[in-house]
Amino acid sequence: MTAPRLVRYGMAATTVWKCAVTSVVLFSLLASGSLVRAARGQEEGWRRVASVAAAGAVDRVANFLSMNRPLDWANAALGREDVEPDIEFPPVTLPPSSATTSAAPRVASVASPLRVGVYGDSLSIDLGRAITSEFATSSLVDVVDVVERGKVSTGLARPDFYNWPARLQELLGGADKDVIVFLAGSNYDQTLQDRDGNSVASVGSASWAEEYRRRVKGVMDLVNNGAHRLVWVGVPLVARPDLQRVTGLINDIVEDEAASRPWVTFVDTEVPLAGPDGEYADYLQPDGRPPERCRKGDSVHLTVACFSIVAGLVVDQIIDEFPSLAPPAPSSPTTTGPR
Amino acid sequence: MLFPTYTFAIFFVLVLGVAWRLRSRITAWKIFMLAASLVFYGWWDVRFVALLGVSVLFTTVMGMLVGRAQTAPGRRWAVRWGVIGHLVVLGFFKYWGFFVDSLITALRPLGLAPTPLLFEVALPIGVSFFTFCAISYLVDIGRGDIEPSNLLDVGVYLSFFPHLVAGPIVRASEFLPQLLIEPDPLSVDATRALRLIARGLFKKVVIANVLAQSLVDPVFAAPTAYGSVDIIAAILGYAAQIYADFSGYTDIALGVALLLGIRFPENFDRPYAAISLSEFWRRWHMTLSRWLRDYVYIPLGGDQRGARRTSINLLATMALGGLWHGAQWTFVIWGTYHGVALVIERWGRQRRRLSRQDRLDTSPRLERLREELGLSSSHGDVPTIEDLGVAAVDESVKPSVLADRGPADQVLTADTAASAPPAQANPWPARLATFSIVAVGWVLFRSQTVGDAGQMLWRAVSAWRAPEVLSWSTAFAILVGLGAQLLPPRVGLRLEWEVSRMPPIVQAVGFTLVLLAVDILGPQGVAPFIYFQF
Repeated sequence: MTAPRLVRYGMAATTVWKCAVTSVVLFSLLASGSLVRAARGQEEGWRRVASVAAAGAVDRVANFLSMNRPLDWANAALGREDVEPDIEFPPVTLPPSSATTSAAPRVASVASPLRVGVYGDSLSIDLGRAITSEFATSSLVDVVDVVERGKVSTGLARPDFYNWPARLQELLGGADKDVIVFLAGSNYDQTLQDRDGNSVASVGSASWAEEYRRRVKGVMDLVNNGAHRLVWVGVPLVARPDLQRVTGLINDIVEDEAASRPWVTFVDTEVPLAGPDGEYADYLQPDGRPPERCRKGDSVHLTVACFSIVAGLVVDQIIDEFPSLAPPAPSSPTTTGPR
Repeated sequence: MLFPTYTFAIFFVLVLGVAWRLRSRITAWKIFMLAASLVFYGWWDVRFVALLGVSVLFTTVMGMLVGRAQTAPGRRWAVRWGVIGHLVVLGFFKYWGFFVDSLITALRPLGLAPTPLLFEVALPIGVSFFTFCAISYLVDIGRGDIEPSNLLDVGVYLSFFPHLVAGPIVRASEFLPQLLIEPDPLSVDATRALRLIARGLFKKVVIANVLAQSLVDPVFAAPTAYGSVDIIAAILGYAAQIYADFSGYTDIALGVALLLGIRFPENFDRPYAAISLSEFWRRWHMTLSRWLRDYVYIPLGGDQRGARRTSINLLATMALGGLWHGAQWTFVIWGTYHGVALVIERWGRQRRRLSRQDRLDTSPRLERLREELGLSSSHGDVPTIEDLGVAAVDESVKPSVLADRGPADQVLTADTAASAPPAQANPWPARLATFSIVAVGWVLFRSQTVGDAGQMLWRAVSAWRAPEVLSWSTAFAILVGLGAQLLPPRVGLRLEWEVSRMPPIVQAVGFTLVLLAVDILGPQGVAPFIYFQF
């Protein structure tokens, strides 16, 4: 005897469409926080403007009807706030405090390994993994702990989407790190905004550089408050000229501010990853060695091979700043340093 | 535009409403669907819409040339030029870097470097998928299986947005006939579609993304930093992740197309429940398997030229299938690894069959029975196409079936028929052995280099220490991702049937609740689908 055949009931096309509309509307109201976050997370342009406006309207309705409360509670219970935390930057610490400048670097050991945190945008995620790999394949595997906590599509431009200074403050408060490695800058060809999503400065304007400098200084001083070392990795060259103008400006600002802060080291990536003419190149062609593919298809992100090069620079810098990590033999020359 | 985004949800609601309004006016429907698909594709990068347009135009013209060719050689040549044209485009956009890297390696001993060739080519999303669809269209016309179609039909076929960027690889013979038949607007298979979409979103956003971010990506990036437990978990996690990612996308694609009144063939059928490698390939990326069978394996001679040639054909087909997945040697090695495993499995099966046959042939009772029935005692051992992994695919979705299917029982029949496992006393040893071979293959597939893969596998057995990244949540995600495949299909079908009896508004609210659960459980932000790069 065969089992009875279960014949599904069909639905009229108009009913299907009404169901689809109902689901989208209902979900938008119940999860309006996610809607706003998704809209703000888009790239600069008319799509984002329209999305933010529409999502804002839905969010106001949802707030009025309190329909988004259950999901907000659920997200809060899971530690996923929809509103980015705020932060007041600490007062500028120049000239540097004596505690930071004169404290001897601590000695890392198996019992008390050096704690390295790698933060920033999508570039920092791969960099963190490359640094982990660099240490893991060296004799320092047991004396250095690397934690990578990057976030895709973030930076200092859009604290409404992800407020790195505030997040860093949280992260540094929760787990004391000896070294912070920060790399962000592949998403900066856009208007700087405040935490509430209001435009602060347009790309290319003088106020953009001024506001960006303020944020860079804020992050650097924030890190100093915890007596940490900060290794700020410069953004690699990118193929798009308009984007390169912005990333070049960012690198200049960071390098400039790092020079006046002894606890900050700027690691330049433009020169090590440039082509023979000093400009952007898809392939690296080191002298006497075969070419090496350096970039992924988007001409921004690096291949594993090139991330290894950057990770090597960062590791050298960390070893330079914590001499106990250096091998007993004559120490290797420093490849980069504060400039 | 990615499926699991608000942008797509709004886009789809608009398209769904207009599409059903136009469904009775087929030309208007096709024009609208073509326009919607181009918007969908252009959302990523408008430059590549031109590439898609050129592909459609070229396919249409070559299809007509093939169809109009008066002689068999003329037809063959037209097919060849059409296929070569598509392969040149695919080769440039997808394999340029691979070609240059391989050239660099080859020239290295001579101290030479192909400097003028050192530039990166952006990969258009979905180029492999629509190119394979186009090739199948041309070859099928050449074989006389289908008639050439006009520009609009070819455009809708190649660019239809549910399958455009990551499959399934739908054949023209499955798709184009559906344009001729107006589906019943009073009986849309919505319950199944909603289940497919909800299941796909859960697989992608929750299972795949959680595993990728928390476990797989960190461990595969720096295997030397982790111990055996983490590495084994990452290997299992990647097996679950890639299945959840790709089959999740396919589920959503099938569901979205179904809501528009178009049926796609199934692409996955609980592959990790397979008890042999050939069965695994009958259940994994089924539309690619049958493409490779029909357009690579059989043209190479298939299993008709002796055991040795069959093995070579199988190896070549699987290596090519590996290369299709990505422009890296690790993918080629992964494909070859599966090819070798399939050849060994087939050889073992034939040996067992011969041995069993010998015992049967010498059985006096059987001999007496043969004599009574007047049968010959000689049994040839001609390998059948079903013996081969790439050869076996789900044939349940024939055009005639597609046209006949309503919202009801045909799907059930197809599912149960396709996935009924062969009877076996205890399938678990074979199932675990098959899964182990597949999982080792995934290490090759996921690793950047063969050396990395070797390091992963070596550390999986040699670096025992407490786990660092494996957590309860990731372990649970692995369990769900792998374990759900052991559920019999009737569970889901029963659920669909029960839900289909509920009022539509209840179904809509239930679907919304699933979306909320996905939103809460999944990590924030949407990671790209793995198969987009293929």
